[in-house]
Amino acid sequence: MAKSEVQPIYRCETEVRKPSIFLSHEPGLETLIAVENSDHWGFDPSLKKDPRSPELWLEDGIREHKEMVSVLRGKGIEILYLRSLLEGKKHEIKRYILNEFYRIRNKLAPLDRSVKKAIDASVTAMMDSLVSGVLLGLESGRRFREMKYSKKREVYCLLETLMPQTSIYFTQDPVISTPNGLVKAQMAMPIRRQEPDIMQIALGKKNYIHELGSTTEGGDITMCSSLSYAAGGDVRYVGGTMLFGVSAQSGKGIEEEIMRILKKSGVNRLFVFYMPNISDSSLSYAGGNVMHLDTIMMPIADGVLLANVNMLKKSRVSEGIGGKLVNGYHWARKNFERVISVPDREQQGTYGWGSNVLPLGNMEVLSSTHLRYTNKNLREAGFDVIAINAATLTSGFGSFHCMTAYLMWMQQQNLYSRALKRQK
Amino acid sequence: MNQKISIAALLLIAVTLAVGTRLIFTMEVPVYSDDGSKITGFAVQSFEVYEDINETQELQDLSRIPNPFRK
Repeated sequence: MAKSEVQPIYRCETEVRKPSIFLSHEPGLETLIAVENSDHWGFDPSLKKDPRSPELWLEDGIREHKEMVSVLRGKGIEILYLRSLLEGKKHEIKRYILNEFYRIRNKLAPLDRSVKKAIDASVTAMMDSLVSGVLLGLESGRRFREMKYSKKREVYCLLETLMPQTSIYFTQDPVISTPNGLVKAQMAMPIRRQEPDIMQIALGKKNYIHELGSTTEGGDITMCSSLSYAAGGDVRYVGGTMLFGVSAQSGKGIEEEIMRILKKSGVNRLFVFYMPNISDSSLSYAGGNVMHLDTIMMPIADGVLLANVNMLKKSRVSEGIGGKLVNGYHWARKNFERVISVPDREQQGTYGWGSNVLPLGNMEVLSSTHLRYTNKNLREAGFDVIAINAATLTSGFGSFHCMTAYLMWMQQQNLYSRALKRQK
Repeated sequence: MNQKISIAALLLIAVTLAVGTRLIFTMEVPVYSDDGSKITGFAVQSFEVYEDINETQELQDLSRIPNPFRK
């Protein structure tokens, strides 16, 4: 087989130019358990006071998701569905479920006989319906599904696998798109640990160039363009600049991991962004959620950053590893022509995630209608804001940027199409 | 081969001491928890650097070139 045939086709030089392909997942029954038990599954604790039943929450969430997809398709962007990709990978899913089951068999010893039987029945149900099975986990079996939540929680905490994929509709997090191909993320929260495996099955190993050895999620890494100028003062932006968010949860070895990614991913320039929760642990999100770079700032066009100023001021940034650490706000002012503000009240929480808009290129962004002040600031800065309701889905702690994984941009797709034609 | 490298290293140190200026830089670095699983804060660390005088002059010359972004 020629070398070019096995090279990754999914890549990302910059997320601020017109995208061509996004990966998305319409939330399904696997999310219900998180809506009912938001504390344990990293959803907004305020959901406990939500008057809607979990089924109604899901109905509203699916409506919001369909509207998002409809807007993106209307812009000529192709949407790949995680579920459809998995349909073509049944053999791999079967192998994965069996591997996971055999891996945790020894852990089952302390459990009651009835619980063990329920787990066996669930695994059988997963094997009968592979795609739904891998998404629903042990909730696939009726006996396990109808068990008391405290018992189920005990099992999930013990096994840390075969879990319902409650947050996988945030497709941005388990996979990282870089200029040379995809990188498999490693999730910080145990309840999300399977997501990168499932995503890799769906997207195919051949599209991956690296697997992370330390906890870094897709929301921590953003590709954008950086300022460059040629002789004569011509200002231009070049892609391939990686903004790498390091949070309090990133343990020792993160610097070596960054160097490994840098070597493999074809990045031109790197900024390491030390998140505000390092200096102030009270800023960490509720429900054990991990603070992501794309929830405090996002480059949304060449030279334009959308960010919460207070969060920037509480962050530190260095160019490369071991570079001088500078205040995040000073860094933003120096490296971007404009910083558009996300007000404190719209930074995080039920009515937040203002920085987590989705850049669509050509000064256009997809945002949620509940972000009144952020949207106003964006419009005043000359951006075309497409605002649709996402107030249900954002209670899972993230907005449109988290709900889409960037797989390809227009210019790159043109190159890819030309290469395909040449091969034919 | 090793001898050649050692001689080259000695020569380099001698030249640096002869023409260099001793500078102390301070830098903030992340501090990890005892088990290494978390970053808990930042600490100031000092570095001694021998800077080449000629290189400094070169940098100063470059700084005179007007910044095209400044209006």
